[in-house]
Amino acid sequence: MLGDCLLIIAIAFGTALAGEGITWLLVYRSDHYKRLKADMDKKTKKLEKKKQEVGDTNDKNIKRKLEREEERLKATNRDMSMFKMKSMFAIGLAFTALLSTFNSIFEGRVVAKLPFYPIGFIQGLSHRNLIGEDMTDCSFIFLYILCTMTVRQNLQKILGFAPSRAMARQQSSPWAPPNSQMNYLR
Amino acid sequence: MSSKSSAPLEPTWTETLAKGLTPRSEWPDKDELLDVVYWGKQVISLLLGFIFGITSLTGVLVLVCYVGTSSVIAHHFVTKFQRVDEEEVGGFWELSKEGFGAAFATFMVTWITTYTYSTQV
Repeated sequence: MLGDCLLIIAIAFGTALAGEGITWLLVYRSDHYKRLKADMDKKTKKLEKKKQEVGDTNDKNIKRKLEREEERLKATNRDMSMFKMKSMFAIGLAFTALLSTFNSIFEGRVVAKLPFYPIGFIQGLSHRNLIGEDMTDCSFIFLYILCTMTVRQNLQKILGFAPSRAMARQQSSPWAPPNSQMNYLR
Repeated sequence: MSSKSSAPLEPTWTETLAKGLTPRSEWPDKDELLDVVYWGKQVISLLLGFIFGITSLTGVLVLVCYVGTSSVIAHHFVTKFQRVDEEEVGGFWELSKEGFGAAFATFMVTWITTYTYSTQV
């Protein structure tokens, strides 16, 4: 079982590296994306600084100016998302196919023992396609998702592909398009 | 001839690490301090995951203990060790959220893998 665990961690490393590599090749490397990102970074920081300086003012002009800045920011953000969309879709498709291949390789196999008793939908994930009633048996997909969560985010952080905190705060606002964090796990 | 003043150089990770290990350092760029918190949580997650796994600790209480421990350590590192006002980095909640998803996943993978190993031995 330990061998399976280490193998799945290695698979997660491999797919994350391949995913980021292809994304770099198709998206991050292009001048258009670099310009958009730099523009987005600059505007986000400028807007945050202005908001701090202004605080909660009642002056209509200032408020309107801030709203216009935010609109411009959202437009740039949409451009960035549209630019990434095509490549992300292709990469997502490729990795979904890869994932189902691994799924079939590890079909019905207990890859780890869980040190806790999973409840609810987690149980459906951690005990997928496993026979028997011992819910602390762990299936491939559960461990693979956990590995991908940690490896991918840390890899993006190391390679500098992770959005800056100011941008992440901007993107996590309700109207921004959802972050493409888990898209190839569909 | 003084050349045009170039943009402030990004500190290397070794400089940031040295600053992080030195008490009461100067943090003009708060993102740098939050990066230290992010990677610090990763190290804590690996350590705690390994310790809990080897000692075969089980149950959801261990998860609660991990979340509490990593949040308190991050809080004390910023406010007591580095003497930075918490509000400057967004408050206790922002500090606890910093890199939480990735750190939690690191802890889970380490805990599960080490526990699997210790149940086999």
